[in-house]
Amino acid sequence: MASAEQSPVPLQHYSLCSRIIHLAKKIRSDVASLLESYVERQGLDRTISLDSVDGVPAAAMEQEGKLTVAERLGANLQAYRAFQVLLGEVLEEQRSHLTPLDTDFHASIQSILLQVVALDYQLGELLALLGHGRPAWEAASPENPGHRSLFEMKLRGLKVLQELAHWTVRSVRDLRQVAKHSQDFGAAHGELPERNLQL
Amino acid sequence: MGERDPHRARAVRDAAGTMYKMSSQWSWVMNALYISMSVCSLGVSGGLVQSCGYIIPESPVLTLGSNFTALCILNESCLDFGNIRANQIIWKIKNSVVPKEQYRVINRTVSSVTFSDTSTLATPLTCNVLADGQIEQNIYGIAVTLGLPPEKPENLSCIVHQMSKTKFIMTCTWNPGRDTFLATDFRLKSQWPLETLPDCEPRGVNNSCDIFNVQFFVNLEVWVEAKNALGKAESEHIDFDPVDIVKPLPPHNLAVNSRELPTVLKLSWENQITVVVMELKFNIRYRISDSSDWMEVPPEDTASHRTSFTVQSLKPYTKYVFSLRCMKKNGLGYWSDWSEEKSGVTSEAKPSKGPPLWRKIGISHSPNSWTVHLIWKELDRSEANGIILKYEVTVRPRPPLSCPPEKYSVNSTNLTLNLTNGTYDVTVTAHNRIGGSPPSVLLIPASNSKASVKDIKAFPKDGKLWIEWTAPDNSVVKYVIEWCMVSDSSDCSTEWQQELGTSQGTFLKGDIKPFKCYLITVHPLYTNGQGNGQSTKAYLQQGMPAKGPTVQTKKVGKAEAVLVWKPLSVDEQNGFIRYYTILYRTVSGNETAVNVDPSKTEYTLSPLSSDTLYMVKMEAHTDEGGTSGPVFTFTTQKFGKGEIEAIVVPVCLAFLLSILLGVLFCFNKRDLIKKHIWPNVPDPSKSNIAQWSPQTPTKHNFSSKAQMYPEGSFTDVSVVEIEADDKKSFSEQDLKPFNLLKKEKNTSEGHSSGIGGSSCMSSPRQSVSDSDESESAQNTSSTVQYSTVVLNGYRDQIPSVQIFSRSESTQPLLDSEEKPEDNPGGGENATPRQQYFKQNSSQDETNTDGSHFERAKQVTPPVNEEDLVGLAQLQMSGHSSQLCGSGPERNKTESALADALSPSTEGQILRLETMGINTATVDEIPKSYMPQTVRQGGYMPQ
Repeated sequence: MASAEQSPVPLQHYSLCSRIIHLAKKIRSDVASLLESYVERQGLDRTISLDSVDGVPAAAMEQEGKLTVAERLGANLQAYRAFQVLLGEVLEEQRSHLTPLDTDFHASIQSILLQVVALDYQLGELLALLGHGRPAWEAASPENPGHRSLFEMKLRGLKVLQELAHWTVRSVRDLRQVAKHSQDFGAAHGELPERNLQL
Repeated sequence: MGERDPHRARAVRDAAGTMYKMSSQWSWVMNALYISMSVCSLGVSGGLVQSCGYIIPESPVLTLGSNFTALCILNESCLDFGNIRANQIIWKIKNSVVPKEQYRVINRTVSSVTFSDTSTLATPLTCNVLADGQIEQNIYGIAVTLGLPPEKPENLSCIVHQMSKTKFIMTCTWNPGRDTFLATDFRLKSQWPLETLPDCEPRGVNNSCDIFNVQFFVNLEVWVEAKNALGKAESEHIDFDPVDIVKPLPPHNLAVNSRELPTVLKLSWENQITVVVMELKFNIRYRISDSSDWMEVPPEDTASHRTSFTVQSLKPYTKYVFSLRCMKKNGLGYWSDWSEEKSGVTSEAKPSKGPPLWRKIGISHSPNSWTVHLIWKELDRSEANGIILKYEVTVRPRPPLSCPPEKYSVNSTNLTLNLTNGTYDVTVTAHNRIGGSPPSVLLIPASNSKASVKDIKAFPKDGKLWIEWTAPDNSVVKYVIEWCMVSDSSDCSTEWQQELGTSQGTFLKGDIKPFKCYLITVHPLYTNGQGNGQSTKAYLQQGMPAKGPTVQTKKVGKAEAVLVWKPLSVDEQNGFIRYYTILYRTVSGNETAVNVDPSKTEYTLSPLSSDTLYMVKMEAHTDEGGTSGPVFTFTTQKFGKGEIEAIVVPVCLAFLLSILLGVLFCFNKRDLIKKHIWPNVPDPSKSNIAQWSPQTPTKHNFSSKAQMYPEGSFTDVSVVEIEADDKKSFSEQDLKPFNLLKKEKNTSEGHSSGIGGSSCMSSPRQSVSDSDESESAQNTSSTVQYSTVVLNGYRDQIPSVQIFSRSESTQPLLDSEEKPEDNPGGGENATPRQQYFKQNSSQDETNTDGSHFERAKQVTPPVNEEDLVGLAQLQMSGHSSQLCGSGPERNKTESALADALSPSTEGQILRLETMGINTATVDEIPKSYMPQTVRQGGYMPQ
C-alpha cells in the first residue's frame, strides 16, 4: 500500500520519479508486446515506412541537453496527453473497423491507454511537486477519422504505438535525470541516504 | 366485477335508504350489507376498483426496532353511504387486532396507529371497520417490509493475483457487516486521482469482488459501497499501488544441475513476472530426498532478482529436492506459492569412513591354524559418498610371525581366511569411483586376554532393545555387539554392530522382533587385544507363553504322585519363564495351586487322597502372564506300597500250612483212606477157577504172575481192544529199532478210568518203559506198538480228548493173537485184532456168549452199541522190578467213552476198553463184582 505519510519533499520526488519510471517501463514493455500482436493482426511489416503518417508526437529532439527539468517534464506531459487522444482513436478504429471482435486486443490497447493516463497524472503530480504547476491541456482536436482509409488507420495505429514506445524510453531517461537531481538535492540536505538507487 | 357494478351498487344504496326507515331490528343488517358491498365495489373509476379508504404509507420498508405510524384515510363517499366514521376503524396485523391504545382518531376520516417497535409488526397491516359495531370489514391493507440499513463494510483489503505473465486479477475482500434482511447492493469502487474507474459488482457474494483491469505504478483508491432500501454505507477508502500487493506466480522450469564439486548443486529457473513489473527476491528450500525436513538457503543470499542460484554445503552423492518461491524485491506484496519440486544428485566423493569390521573364528582343520571369517558392513549412503565398487583387505601378521602382508580385493562384504595361529592386523578400505575410504582396522589377537565388560544388561527401552554394560578399566577402542535370535527351529544367525569405545550402552540396530529371545554378546576391543564377550538374553517384548507344559505322571502312589513335564521350547516361551504353577483338584474338590521353580521338570504332589481321581494341569508364567497346558487325570492307588504284600503273604503261608497239615494227616491215615476208597479186588490169576478152567491157555503161565503179585495188588484191570492199523504198525515198527537204539524211555500219556464204580476219571499218568523191557518184550512176542486209547468215561461220561498212545505193553500176546490165520498179515481189510480179555464192568451186560472173544474183529457200530467196553491190557512183564511199587499206575491205556469215538473211515482204530478186573489174593474173598462177562478167550463166569 502506498504510504500516505508525509515524507520529505526530495524523498517524495525520488519516490514519485521511481514510480513514473517503472510505469514508463511498464508502458514500454506492454507497447512492445502490443506492437507484436498489432503487426500480426493488421498484416503489417515492422519495417514499413510510416513517414506519411503525421500528427503523432515524435520523441526525438535535438537539444535535449539544454532543457530544464520543467521543460522536460512538460514535453513528456504534453506528449502523453496527445497519446491519450491518439490511443483513444486507435482503439475506436479497431473496435469499429479493423478488429471489431478481438476484445482481448482492445483490452490490451485499453490497458496501455489507462497507463498513459496514469503516467500523465503522475507527471503532473511530479511537476506540481517540483513547484511548476500542471500545464494546461493543449491536446489538439482529433482528426476526422472518416477521411482515412482502413490501411491508413492501420499505419496510423502502428505509428502511434511506435512513437509511444519511443516516448517511454525518453521519459525514463528524463525522469532519471530528474531523480538524480532530486537525489543530489536530498543528499545535500541530508534527507536521502547515500545509496545507489537503481531506477 | 364488471361494468354493471355501479348500477348494482346504486341499487343497493337505494334499497338501503328505503330500508333505513324500517324498524331498527333490520337496520344493522342492512347497514352491514351495504358496507360490505360498498367496500368491495364502491364504484369504478377508469376500470379500477375504488376502495373505501387507503393507508399511508403504502407498503413501507421499515427499520427493525424503529417506531412507525400508519394512517387509514376513509373516502368521503363511504362516509355518505355507509355512515362510517374513523372511530370505527380497527387495525389488524395479520389476524390479530392491534390494541386500541395504539389508535388515534385524527378526524372524522382519518385514524392512525402507532407502533413503538416495528419488530412487532407483521404483514399485512390492515385497516378495518365495524359496521354498526357488529360486522368487521376490511378497507385496506399494506405489506410491511422490515429490515436494517447496511453497515459500513470493514476490513477492506486487496490482493493482486498473477494469473499469467501479463494477466493480473485484483481481488478485494471486506466484511459486509450484519444481515440486513433486505436486498443490499455492494459495489467495489475505485478511482485514480483524475480518473474514475468502473465499479466492480460482486457476483453471487457480498464480500469480495475481482477487478480484471489492474494497472500498476499508479495509486488506486478503492472503497466499498453498500446500499439497500433503508440506506447506504461506505467503507474506508484505501489507497495503494496495485504493484505492491501482488502475489506473483512462483518461478517455473526449475532445473537442478550438479557441478564438479560434490557438495554443490546449481538451480536455474524462469520467473513468470517481468522485471518491468517488479524485481523479485526468493526463498530456496531443499531437503534430502528420503527426508521430510526442509532446509532453507539463507534469505539474504537470495534477496536479489535472479534466475539461478548455486546451493552449497551439500553432502556428496546425495539426492536433494528443491523448490523456491518469490515476492517483490522490496518485500511488499505476498510470497508466491512454492514452485514445483525438482531433485538433483550431488557428485560422488571418496567414502568418508571405512566400513565397520568384525570377524568370526571358525573351526580349524589343524591345531596350528584358524579359519577366520572377516565380515564388514556396507557403508551408509551418507558415508559411501558414491557407489562402492570394491573393498581392499590387508592382513598383516604381527611378530613373531614373519609373513608379508597379504592384500585381497573383494566385491562382497566378507572374506574367509585360513591363518596360522598368531596376532594379525586386518584393514579394510572401501573404494568408489573417486577413491578409497580411510581404513578400518581390526586386531585379531592370538587370545582374548584382555578384560571383559561387566554387568551386562539388556532390556526394552523406547520400543527398542537397549543393551548396556560397565566398561572395563582399560580404555576400549570400540565395542562389537553381537546378537542372534534364539530359536529351536533355526540356527542362531548372528548379527552385529560396532559402537564407540566411549559408549556404555546402545540400542540394537536391526529387525528386533517381539516375543523372541535374543542372545546378546558384548566384545570389548583394545588397541592391542580383545576381551572375552559377555552375554545376556533379552526380549524386546514379552508375552504369555504360547502354550502350557504338558504334564503327566511318572509314578502314582497312594498319597502322592510324581509329575513330570517337558520344558517349553524357546519358541513357545514368548518370554522368560518365571515359574510354573501346578493346579490340581479332585472332581469335586477345590483347586490347589503349587508354584514350581522353572528349572525343575519333576514335582511330587502330596499328600493326596487314596483311590481318588485327580485332575492336574500346569501353567507356565512369564512376566506378562501364564498359559495353562492340557489337563491330565490320574487316580491314586487304593493301597500303598507293601500293603498288598503284607496281606497276601500271610494268607498264602496260612494256606500252604493248612495244605501241608492236610497232607500229613492223609499220609498218617493212608491205610484207612485206601481201604475206604480203593477196596481190595481179588486177583483172578490166583483164583481157583484159573487153576481148573479147561480154557486156560496152557502157554500162559499165570503162576508167575501170581508169584510176581503175591498179594494180588491189581485192583483195577482194563481190557484193551486193539485195532491195529497195518500201515501205522509198519511205520511204527520201522521206527521201533531207532527207538530201541536210542534206548530212551518212552513215555505215553493216557487217561485211565477207575474201576467201573470208581469215582472219577483218572488224571493223566505217565507210563515209563525201559528200552530193555521193550527189547525183551519184542524178543518174546510181537507187541502192538501203538494203540488208540479209547477214553472211557465213567458211567456215560464223555471224555474230551482222544489220545493215541503208544502201547508200552511188553506182555506177550495170547495164543490166538499169534495164529497166522488170525492175523492176515497186513491185509488192508483184515485188521488184526488182538483182544486179550475183556471185562465189561457194566452190570447191565449179561451176555455170556462164548463168542465174545473175537479175533480180528473190525470195529463196527454194533460194537459201539455196547456202549463202553473197557478193555484193560494187563501187561505182565517178566521183570518183577518193573511192576514193583507201581501197580496202580501200570495201566498204560485208559478207557474212553465210546460215544467220543464215532466210526472212523480213516482206518482202523485201536480201541481200548477198560474193565475193572477184580483181583484178589488167594486169601481174600473177591468182592461183589459179579456177574462178570467174559468174552471169547476170557474167563467164564464163575
